[in-house]
Amino acid sequence: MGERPSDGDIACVVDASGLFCPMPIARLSAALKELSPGAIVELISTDPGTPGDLTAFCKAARHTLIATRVEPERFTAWVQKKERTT
Amino acid sequence: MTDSDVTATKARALDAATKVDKKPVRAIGLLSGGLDSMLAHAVIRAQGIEVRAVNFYTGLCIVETQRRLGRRRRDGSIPANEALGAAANLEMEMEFIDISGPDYLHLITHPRYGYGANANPCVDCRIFMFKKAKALMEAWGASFVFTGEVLGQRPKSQRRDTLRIVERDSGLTGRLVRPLSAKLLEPTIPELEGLLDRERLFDFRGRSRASQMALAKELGLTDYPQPAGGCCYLTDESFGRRFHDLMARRPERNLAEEEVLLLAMGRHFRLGEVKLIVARNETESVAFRRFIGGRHAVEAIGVNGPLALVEGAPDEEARRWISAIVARYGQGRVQARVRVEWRDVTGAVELREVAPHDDEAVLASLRI
Repeated sequence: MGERPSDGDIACVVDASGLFCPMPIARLSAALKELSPGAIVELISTDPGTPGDLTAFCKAARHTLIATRVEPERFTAWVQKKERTT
Repeated sequence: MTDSDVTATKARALDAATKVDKKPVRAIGLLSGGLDSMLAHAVIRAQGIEVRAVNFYTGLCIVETQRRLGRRRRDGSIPANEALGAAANLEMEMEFIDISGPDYLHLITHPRYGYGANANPCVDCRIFMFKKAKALMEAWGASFVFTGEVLGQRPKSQRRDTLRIVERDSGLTGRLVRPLSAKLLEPTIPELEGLLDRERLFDFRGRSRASQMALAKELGLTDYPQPAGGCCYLTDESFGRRFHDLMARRPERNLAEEEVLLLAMGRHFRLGEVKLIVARNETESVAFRRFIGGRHAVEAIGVNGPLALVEGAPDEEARRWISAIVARYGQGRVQARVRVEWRDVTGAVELREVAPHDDEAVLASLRI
């Protein structure tokens, strides 16, 4: 996994604080759907299960999990939308 | 150019034209995360069909509540979302469709086809979900919807007659495919149209999972949840008892979202028309605070103990019982007397001193 992208590279922030499975991932998925391939989304979650969910989600959808930051009560991740597959 | 060359050229041209015009066959798959739905997706995709996997969020997910309350599995791990795990194993994108809210709650409280063993109106729920799936099918230009249902696997919702009812009432007649039991059911439109090869579908029946496990092995699917799983509170026995207890006292059968959350938490006791809900731990006590409005709040003073909520209008006798029960579930249970504070719906505060309840048999008889 790489480093946190700079603010200018982040297309959208999904703050899912206070929400629990599956809503953080559902919100992230909806945000990614609106963006162009290669765009980066920052996800903020307080659900302790989000790291595991996110790994599965990125594997399933082939998005790239660029970086994560784990704090006691908060998890932040940066996800890059997959390139168009045709 | 000979006649045979011309024929071959025409055939190639026709073939090319057909390929250009040929649109991919598409299908909507319902992915719960269990083995059956995983197999159904693998089987349909193996026929070259473009699948869009969806998972319906009802707001009644056990994993969601477990995580909200900080619960862990026996091995200490965080409860996982099985549908996401299945999508990862299948390496296919899955979409969450949010169907929670008043319409879904109305379905739960007014099911046309009744309940299963607990509070599960599975036939009505499937009809509701499949109507949504049908809308997605039409919007996406898909030819059919499929599920991992197996004929005879569940006593109510997967009987031959109920499978037909679900198909009919969802408006998916002929376009709802159950790949794992397809050979035991009438051929569907995509099968008759040649979009789906019936010979490559299956004839699984009943509750045994042996055939599914053998197929999983054949398809290289090794990581799947055990069948006892499931993420829906409506099939939970304890939740079901509480749900029916509530509905029995509510002729209009309405249900608010926050009531659903409360049905899933705490210890519930029935004292006539009064209901007592005692938090099971500190996390639940914290969660209960958001539900105090419109309810009496009761907790022990001077010793650690749970927050309890009271619904209804308790008389003096009920207040004595409730105070004693609340005292019993705190650290004051070993003391002769415990002080208990009542904060009434009106905001009035009352202090009582009681002996903690100590008759477990009586307590058990009051449990919902």
